This record gives sequence, structure tokens and C-alpha cells, in this order.
Amino acid sequence: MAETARLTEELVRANGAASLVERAGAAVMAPAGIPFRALFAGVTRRLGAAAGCTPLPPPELVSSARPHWTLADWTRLWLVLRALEHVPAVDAPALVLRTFEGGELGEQESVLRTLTLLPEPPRFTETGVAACRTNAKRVFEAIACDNPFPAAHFPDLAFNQMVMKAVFVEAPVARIEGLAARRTPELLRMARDYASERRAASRPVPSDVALILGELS
Amino acid sequence: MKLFDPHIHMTSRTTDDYQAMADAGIAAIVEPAFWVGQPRTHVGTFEDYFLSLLGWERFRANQFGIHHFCTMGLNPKEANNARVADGVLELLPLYLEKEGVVAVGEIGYDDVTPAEERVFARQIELAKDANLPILIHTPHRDKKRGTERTLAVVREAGIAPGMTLVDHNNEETLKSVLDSGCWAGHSIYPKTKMDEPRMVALVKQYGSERILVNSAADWGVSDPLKVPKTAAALREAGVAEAAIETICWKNPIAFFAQSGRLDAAALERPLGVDQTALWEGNSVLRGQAPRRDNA
Repeated sequence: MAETARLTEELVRANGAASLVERAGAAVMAPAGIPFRALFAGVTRRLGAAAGCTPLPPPELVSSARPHWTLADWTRLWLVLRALEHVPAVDAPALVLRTFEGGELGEQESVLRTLTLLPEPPRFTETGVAACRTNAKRVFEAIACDNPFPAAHFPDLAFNQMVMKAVFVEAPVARIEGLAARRTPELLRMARDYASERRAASRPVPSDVALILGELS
Repeated sequence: MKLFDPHIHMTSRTTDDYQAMADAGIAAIVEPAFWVGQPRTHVGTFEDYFLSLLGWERFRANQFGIHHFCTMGLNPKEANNARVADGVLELLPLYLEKEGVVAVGEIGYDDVTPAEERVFARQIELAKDANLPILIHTPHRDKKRGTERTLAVVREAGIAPGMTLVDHNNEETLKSVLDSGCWAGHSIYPKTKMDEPRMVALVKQYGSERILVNSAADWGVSDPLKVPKTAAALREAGVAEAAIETICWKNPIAFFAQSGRLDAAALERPLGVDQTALWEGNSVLRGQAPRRDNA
């Protein structure tokens, strides 16, 4: 996993985050401290115009990384990877959860998009599941859409709730990765019950319900 | 006709809303403790929230002539955060003792997780210990199954159905809630949940017994005047005045009076407004001439 950190550092250095990497040294060694949290919070501002660019993932990471990740996402990923090297393994899930909870919307997006590249990602399932309780659509989409993490690690109950919430908040179900393999009888029942509830209320059934049911491709 | 909104989160509404509600005939409200739009990360923020419902929010309501009651509880969304949940459960026996707390709520299911079930069941026990009714939030996703499980939990816990108000009902849940003997709330919303024409149809089918309507207005797009608007829709559809009064005034009083902390007779008298009053040195006014009903 040090390899992921190295590749990530190369990428962010090459794309305009070199000075931020240089100044991170002491802060990442004490990730519970305010300096680390402040650095994490200030990434977008410190990167300036480069923050929003979407660098091509290195070939070694392309199966997990996604092309919409911004330089800010990559830089925050690098900060978390380095921070995780400095906490005991038992504290790693809490560090990531606290980084998520303590973040504003953009920080939260970065944490969620890149969970999949953290070492032993199943440890961070609680953060992913907690994120689905957000009211902010862009935060919800950061975990639910174009993200391999939920299908790979969420228990059925949390995955099903995420899919149904996507319908409720009009996040595109088509962009939920791995849905086909997680289309359980329970999820289909939930989708059918929702369609029934909408009909009973004389309201249209969102077309994404058919997508869950496999009636559209 | 006086009106009662038995479920409204005034902490995120303005004084304009309070004025409009008073003008529309709302004389009493219940403000349930719920979440605040994003998850809290400390037990202490819950305690301050509870204190604000009991303190400043009650004062604000009274400044507009509206009786304010509240419910105390840990909502199901935040029940999933064990660090916070255990601390809040510890605080609740204290806050359930406070004046004007007329139920334990909103409690129940949201994602229908084991963590939610544990916190839900524990709070029913707290309600039984405190002789308080319970106000139950039903999930928006997987509503029908979630409501069925809710009713099963209530049955197993052995709290009287008459002490239980199951909220956010729709066409597919109302019958089973009424059949269980529980009271049934309906949140009238601009787009989601329930709307006025559908509520009229439900009242025509099921009558007025144990049926309540509320605005559930909060920090999202919602309408604090949905109780008066629903009363008007019922009237326009030919529902008898007595039935409207039962749904929009008498039922919430009968339900929450079971707490022993809501005096039905006092609610019939107008709450004299004295806007010269201060709460911890603060006024709701910003340079306006204070209204004094009894001056």
C-alpha cells in the first residue's frame, strides 16, 4: 500500500501539488492534530485553479481510481494515506470517519470517492454507510455514483437503502457501480413496494425504479 | 376554529412563519426533537439542542401567542452513530422530566438497521418509565415494511397502542396503523409525503378517529401552514366541521394530554402576548413596537 501512496504522490506532485506535499511533513505525522485537519481543509484553496483538474490515474491504479477525481481529491487521498501510516491500525477507521465528519462538502466528497484506494478498504465501510445519511446530494453521489466501494463492501441492508435513496434524491441509479450483481430479491421487493406506494398516491413512478428492477438496460 | 400543529420543527423557521401561523389560527404546536439536517458528531450538541427546544424556542412561540410543547428523543438517523447514541440515551431520563415535554420522540426506524432497533426499543422503555406517550417517525424508504416492523416493535414492547402516535402515514400504511389501535399522523408536504387532496380522500374513507395532520415543516422546502390548508381542503370537500375540529385540534390534545403535562383547558384560553418580555436578556423584536395583549 506504500505503493499506492508513492504513485499518488507522484501524480499530485506532477500536477501542481508539489508545494503542498512539501509543507505536509509534520502535519501528517500527527493526524489527530489541528494542523493536519487544517491542511486537509485548505487543499482546494492552496491548489488554486489546479484543484479542479482531473489528472489521468496512473495505470497501476486505474482499476480503482475514477477519471472524475480531481487534483484536490488525489491530494486529499495522499494526505489520508500518509496520515494512516502514522496511526495504529486499530485507529484507522476512526481517523477516516472523523476526517469525513469534520469536512465540508468538498472534503467529504474527496474522502468518499477515494475510500476504495485506502489500505484494507473494508475497514472504512462505516464511513461509506454513514455518508449515505447525508442530505447533500453531491456528497451522496460521491459515495453512491461512479464509485466501486459500496458494491464491493456495503452489507445488503446498507446497499439497498443507498439504491432506494438514489431514487428519492434523484441521483442517477445508472451510475451506481455493481448494481447488477447486488440486485437481490430484497432490493427488488423494496423497489416494487415503492412503485406501489407511488401508484397509491397517484404519483408517477420514477423511471430509475425500472432500472433497479432490471426492466430497462 | 383553533388549530394544532402536532409536528413542526420551528427551530429552523422564522418569526414570519410564527406570525403567519398565529394569523391562520394555529394556537398550539408540538416541536419534536429530530435531526438538524446533518449528523451531529457530539453528545453536547444534542444537549444544547434539547435546551433550545425547552428554552428559546418556547419563548419565541409564546411571543406570537402560540402554546409550545416538545418531545424529546434520539431520532433514528442519528441512532446509527453509536458514539453519540449511547450518550444521548443517558441524557434522556433527565430531559424527559422537563416541563412541557409531552412525549418521547421522534423515535423509530429510518434505514431499519439493528442499531436503530436497539435505540428505538430502549426509548420505548424510557417512555414507559416516564409515563409518556411516544411519537414515532416511520421511514420514507421501504415505508410499508418499515411501518409493519414498527407496529411489531410497539406490540412486543408492551406500550399501550393508545399511547403511540405513528407518523408520516400514507395510503398503504394507514389501515394497519389504525387497526393496531395506535394514533395515525400525516405530514402534509408540498411535494413528497402526503398532500391535501389525498388527505381529504383518506378522511372520507377512514373518518376522524385517532387521525392527526401536521406540517412537519423543517429546514427543507415545507410549509408551516399545512394544517390550516388541510382544514380548508377538508371543509371545501364537505367534511363536517366537527370532524375537522377533531382532526386538527381535539385529537392532538387528547393524545398529548396523556402525558399529564398539557392542560386542555389552558389551551382553550388565548395565550396573552407580551412582547416586552425578554428571555435571558433577548427579545424577538428588532426595533418593532411590542405587542401587549393585557396592557
